[in-house]
Amino acid sequence: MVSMKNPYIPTKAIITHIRNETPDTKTFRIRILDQNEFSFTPGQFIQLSVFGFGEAPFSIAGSTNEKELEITVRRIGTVTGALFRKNVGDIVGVRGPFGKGWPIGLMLRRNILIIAGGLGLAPLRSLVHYIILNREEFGKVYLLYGARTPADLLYKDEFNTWSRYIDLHLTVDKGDNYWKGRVGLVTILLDDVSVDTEDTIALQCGPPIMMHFVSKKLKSLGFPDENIYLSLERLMKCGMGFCGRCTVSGRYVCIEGPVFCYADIKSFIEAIPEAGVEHA
Amino acid sequence: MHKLKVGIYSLSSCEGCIVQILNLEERLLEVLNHVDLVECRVLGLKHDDEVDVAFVEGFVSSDEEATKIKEIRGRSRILIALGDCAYSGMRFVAKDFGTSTIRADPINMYVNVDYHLRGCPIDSEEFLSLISDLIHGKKFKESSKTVCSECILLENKCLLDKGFLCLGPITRGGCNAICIANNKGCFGCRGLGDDVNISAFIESLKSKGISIPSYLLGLLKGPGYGSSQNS
Amino acid sequence: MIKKALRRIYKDKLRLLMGRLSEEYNIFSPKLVEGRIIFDRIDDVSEIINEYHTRPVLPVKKLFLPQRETLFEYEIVDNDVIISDKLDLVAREKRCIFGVRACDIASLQILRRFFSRGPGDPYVIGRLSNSMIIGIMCNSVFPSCFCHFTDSGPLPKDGFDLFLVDVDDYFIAIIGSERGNQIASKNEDIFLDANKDDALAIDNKVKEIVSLMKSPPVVDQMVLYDAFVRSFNLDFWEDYAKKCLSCGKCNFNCPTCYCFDIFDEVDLDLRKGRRVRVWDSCHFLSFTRVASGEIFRRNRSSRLKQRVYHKFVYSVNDIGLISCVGCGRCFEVCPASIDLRDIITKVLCG
Repeated sequence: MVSMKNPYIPTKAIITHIRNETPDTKTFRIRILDQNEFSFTPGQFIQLSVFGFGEAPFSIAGSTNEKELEITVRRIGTVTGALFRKNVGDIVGVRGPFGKGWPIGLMLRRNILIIAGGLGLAPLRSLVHYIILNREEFGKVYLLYGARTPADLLYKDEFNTWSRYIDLHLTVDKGDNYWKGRVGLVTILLDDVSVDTEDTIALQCGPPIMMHFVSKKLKSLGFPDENIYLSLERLMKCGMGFCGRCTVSGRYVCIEGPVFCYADIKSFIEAIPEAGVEHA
Repeated sequence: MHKLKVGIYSLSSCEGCIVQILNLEERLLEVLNHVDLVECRVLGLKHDDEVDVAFVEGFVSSDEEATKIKEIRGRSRILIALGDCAYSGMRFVAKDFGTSTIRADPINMYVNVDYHLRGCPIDSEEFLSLISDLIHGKKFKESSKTVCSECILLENKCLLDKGFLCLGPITRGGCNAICIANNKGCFGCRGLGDDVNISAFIESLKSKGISIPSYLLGLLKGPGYGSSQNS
Repeated sequence: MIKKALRRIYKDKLRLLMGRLSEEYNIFSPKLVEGRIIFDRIDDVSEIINEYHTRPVLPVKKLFLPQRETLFEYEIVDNDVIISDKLDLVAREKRCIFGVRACDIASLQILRRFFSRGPGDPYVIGRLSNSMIIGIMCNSVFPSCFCHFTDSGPLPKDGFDLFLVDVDDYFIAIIGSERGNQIASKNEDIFLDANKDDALAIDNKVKEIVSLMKSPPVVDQMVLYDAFVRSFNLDFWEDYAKKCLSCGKCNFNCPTCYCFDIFDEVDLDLRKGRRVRVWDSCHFLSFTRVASGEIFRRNRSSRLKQRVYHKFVYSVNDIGLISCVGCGRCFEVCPASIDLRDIITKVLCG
């Protein structure tokens, strides 16, 4: 008992690369010191410390076969504001990985329909990388991705590579002079693809309101509840099921999620905004 | 590292908020190692140039003061309203929610305010954490607790239960229930907390046989008082 | 009838015992501070109150999960960060908590079960392991007491080292653990043999206390659970939400509410700082606010239900126990006088 490891203490890590994604979003590559590898399941998250500013949860956006981890961050609060002032070579802290990721075991040899909105693509990027690395293990793979404007699309320089392996569809809420693609919410992309609803696993991550409408649409297309998965965002302080901040109907998003099966949470009145109940 | 240039300015006030800052004593000296205090009337410091941070106490009671606050805003990067006078024109202390004819305008009627510290007077610990956040370039977050919940952390006996009026259940915390700890009911100087339930509070006072002050009934129809700067 | 080993301690020997224990343990006890009784460290056994008819405002939880706790300190040196863990301080301190009531003992069992999940919370679990618990049976009840309903008292089932039952001029000491047994054998001059009637005396005392309690009729806890599950969408929750002030008091003085916030504090020199955790309340609007500004429990009723359902449903799903110990502190301090027993009765009538 006396020498119990303290799970609240972050491991020191160093920022090795910073890439600008959009005007308010960057991808940070981080190497954990004194640790040769970082293993995780796509969909899991870490708690990142900027000492003096605190800790915040971030989905892991990088590849499972790399020794360093990547997170994509939008500047929005205290910790992200401080992180944006950090440079390559600066020290941060990492705890994790935490939570349950995408159900890869179930997805093998099935068709995959991925639906992402905005920053919600981050935890799905590590999955896309995983699928590309193990392409023969999966059936048809669709990625439907929506962002506010063309400038807000994440990982644009990877789209060409992705398109060689998976069927990529994009949309924006508001186009610009150069945008030739679809304009509208991500749900409209569901009209552009014809999927075998019986043998396809649908995975989604995005704002609660997007997931609400996507889930409805998937249901109307005939997807069984068991084949729909979504990743929930909640306030998470500890990542280990203690602080009580992330619970949804008593279930800890940090340990039982963030990825949940729709069949398990459709009864969680708080999970997604249904019929105006229990939601902002 | 560049030291923050800080000015403390007074409009119509009792200077009680400044006394709270001076009461920090040695800790204020520690603060002064990290910032340059360039203007403060009570300390005889005068400065007419640009500052990084302007702390303003007091409300606007004349056109001259209205001009003065605009001038201060014009040369400050960050402007902070200190205390209930500057933040709300003394509404929460005077319990005057729009009925008085005396001119006591909050400074945000004339200029944009970046942060505010509530209370009459301000809480010196809260002043320290705000200034620490400014030095670190961190966004200041005010307490989301109620005074009532801070009071029970001190294991005080409830004044409402003793039949005294105390606004702790509807008032925003951050003061560590200092009045109640000194056996005075909370008088609500920090404004309303997040999502307060005034009508339920009135019912609760009634059930305890405490007479209902008329301003509470006024607050029932006054939306927006005391809204948070966190969201 | 009680199955555990019993001893007798004459009341004038209690301070002698605590004095001996204080050589090895830091002693904590309910103590009189400026007219209030609070749990605190005592320096002298004369400060121990063993005849009292009020209870500490904040439950014993605060000695295991403090209101405010530094998790670690750090110092930035050049481009490196030196972290110093504060856990060893927790692990080193041997404590004896005296005067813990059955409801609080039950709450520690709930906290132990909860904070042992996953990797475990080393602060809470460390303190629980290093603390000897000497409980004391209530001699009277408060208007809010209903521990009989939640099956947490007036006699605790487990989770104590010694438990004292006040009978005239002596205590019957129930031996609750090996550690308690060792204390008894090491202090044979204090721990005398129990009389054959002492077990019966305990029984009678329990019956007497139970008869004084204003408790809803006892039901099987699964019946209670099912009743709550069925009641989630009933209209009466809105009536309670209309009364609730969302002040958060009931969270802070609940023996089992554990939710907390974590943040960093920095010294003005920018180099040294610490990560701190403090209690938080699910009644506050900010409790579920994420960085983007979204608030997941905006309705007052959803926050009120979160607290109540956590006690009677979510906790059962999570750790197999309801997490209400029937102390009634939540409604004792509620400015809106929302009585949890009324809610329970409504739910059971469903």
